[in-house]
Amino acid sequence: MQTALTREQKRAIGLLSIGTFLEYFDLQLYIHMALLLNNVFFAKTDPFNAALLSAFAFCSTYLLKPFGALIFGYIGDFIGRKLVIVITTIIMAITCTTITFLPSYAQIGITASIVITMCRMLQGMAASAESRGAEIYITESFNPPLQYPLVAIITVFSAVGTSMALGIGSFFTNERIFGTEHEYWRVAFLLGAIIGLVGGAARTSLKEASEFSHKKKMLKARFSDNKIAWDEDLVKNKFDQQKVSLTSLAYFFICCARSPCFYFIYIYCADVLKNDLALSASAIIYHNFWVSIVDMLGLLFLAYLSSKVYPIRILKAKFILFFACIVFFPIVMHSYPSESVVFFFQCLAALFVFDDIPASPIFYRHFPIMKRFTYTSLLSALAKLMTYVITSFGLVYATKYFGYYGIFVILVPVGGLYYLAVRYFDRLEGAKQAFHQIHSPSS
Amino acid sequence: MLTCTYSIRLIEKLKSLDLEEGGVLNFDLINNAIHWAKKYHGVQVRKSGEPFYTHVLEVAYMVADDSLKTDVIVASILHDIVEDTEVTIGMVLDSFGWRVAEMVDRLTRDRPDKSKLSVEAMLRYAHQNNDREVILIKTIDRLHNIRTIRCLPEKKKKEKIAETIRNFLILAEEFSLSQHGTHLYTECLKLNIELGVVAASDIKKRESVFDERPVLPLLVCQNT
Repeated sequence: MQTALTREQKRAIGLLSIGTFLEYFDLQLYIHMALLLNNVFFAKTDPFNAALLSAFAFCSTYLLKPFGALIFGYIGDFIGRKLVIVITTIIMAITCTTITFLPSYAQIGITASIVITMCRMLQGMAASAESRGAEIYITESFNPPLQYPLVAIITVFSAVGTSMALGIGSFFTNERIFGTEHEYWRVAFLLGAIIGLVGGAARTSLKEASEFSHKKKMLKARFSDNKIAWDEDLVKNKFDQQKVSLTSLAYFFICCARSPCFYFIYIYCADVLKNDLALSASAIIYHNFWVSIVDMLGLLFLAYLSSKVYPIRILKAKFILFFACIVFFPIVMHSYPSESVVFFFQCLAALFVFDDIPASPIFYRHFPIMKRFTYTSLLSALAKLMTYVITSFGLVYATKYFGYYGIFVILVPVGGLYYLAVRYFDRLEGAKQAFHQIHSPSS
Repeated sequence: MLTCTYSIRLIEKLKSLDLEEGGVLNFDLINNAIHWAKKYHGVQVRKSGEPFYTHVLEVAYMVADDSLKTDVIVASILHDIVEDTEVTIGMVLDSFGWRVAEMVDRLTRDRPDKSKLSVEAMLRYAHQNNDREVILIKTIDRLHNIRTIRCLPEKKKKEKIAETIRNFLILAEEFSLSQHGTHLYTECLKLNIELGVVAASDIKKRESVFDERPVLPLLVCQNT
């Protein structure tokens, strides 16, 4: 059983973590400076530009992810995990450089809006592919139980990137320091571009994930060496399609869970703070910054915990704790509506959010190696797109008719399906048997 | 119990591994399985002339490197017992428990309805049940068979090699048994070169896109 990392493995983890941090820092930087930057690159008065702006916000975050999943999934499965990690980092660096030097709408008109939209679309696709690539890379390069905390660390660094972007974003949008119109924000993107280029170059020295390591090409070569004709059906026949379909459905339900929870923590609660408690936009950003810090610390704790406790058990415990806490949210909010009560429930929800962390390596393991990247990326992207649409529209009506209890209209069915999916994977793992196997040296 | 070099070697290895891991194996059950293998395979001999039970003991010896679990070791020792002797799955269940019986059943090609499963069907069934341990035992069983194939007629050898390449290489990768997949490939390639199916000069040294490590095993590269 591997309990410590070699020097090369430490270096690989360092490169992957810093890369993920950077991807999320760059991706979120624009989101948190949107008020400032949308004024630079878009014209509010032009109706076409306004339509482009709203489409841009949606596409960059969700709509293009399934396409990104297909493209990068194909590269990841047929060429290599490492190539995806390198390409996505370089895409991030190039787009950051473009944003840094892109003239404003006032200078070049609609071209500025179109270029920034394309940059954001690319960034949205690249960021999710990068973190998945890093997670699959670690899953395939390290054995359990070490792989659980290491994969969770990637998520920790994406959260650190997000928090850092929030901090930098609040700094550069501070009108008291910089005024309403300035060009200092470009420094942040330039910094991101430089780190991206250096990180991308450094990542080329990574070895391909040892488990994947160009398997299909290698197998084809082995067949050819022995003068046995390679038949794609041979590969297909080795997989039980029905089993993969069920596994895919279960993974889809697990991926569906995060968006409604995220929506509750950062968007729904922000609406409550704004509408019911009359907090200003900047006060809500500051409030959410501290929630994101608690979120990040929670992830760090989960990463540690996954080295001690079987991750599926952690998922089950988080699920129960999430509902045990959130069920009191409407009751407490009716009796004691205050910012600190909202903050308290946001923190509890962030700590116990039911998602795939820290059990992602277990889910990845149940997908065939040569379909793993495409399947998991596409399922996750589709799940997020679907739940984003359902949550953002559904929650509006649900809370309109049921008040604070409206959140359960979305959370209960999503939670039910999530629990069934976790139990499905638990059964696949063979519960106790898998636990012993994971903690035995033979695994 | 009748001792022999093979069983002594197996038990010594298991004891050594077990000591390192603080006692995870049930040696009563393992010794009983060895006893069954010798009792029921009895006078059966392999094509090489060796007692048949030496094969199952060797498979168990190799399996121990990958899975130090009593059930897996016992199933490795008993993997041919239902197919080749009068022992039934019910007898295995009564003496060795449910999991060993399940694994032995999945490793048995002769079905109760007198039909015989192909190797591919057997492996696919194990795959459908996500039974990595059965795939492990079957892969190592095949590796040992290929290493000791030399006494078979040439036609049989070629069939066995083709069957191995078609059915085991992809599955070994699928179940993270890459090392065994590589061994199977190397053994098959060596045999194919010996049989004249493949010319050694046709095997080119290839490198993967990212790794400096050659795709082909070093042994073959040096020979070419």
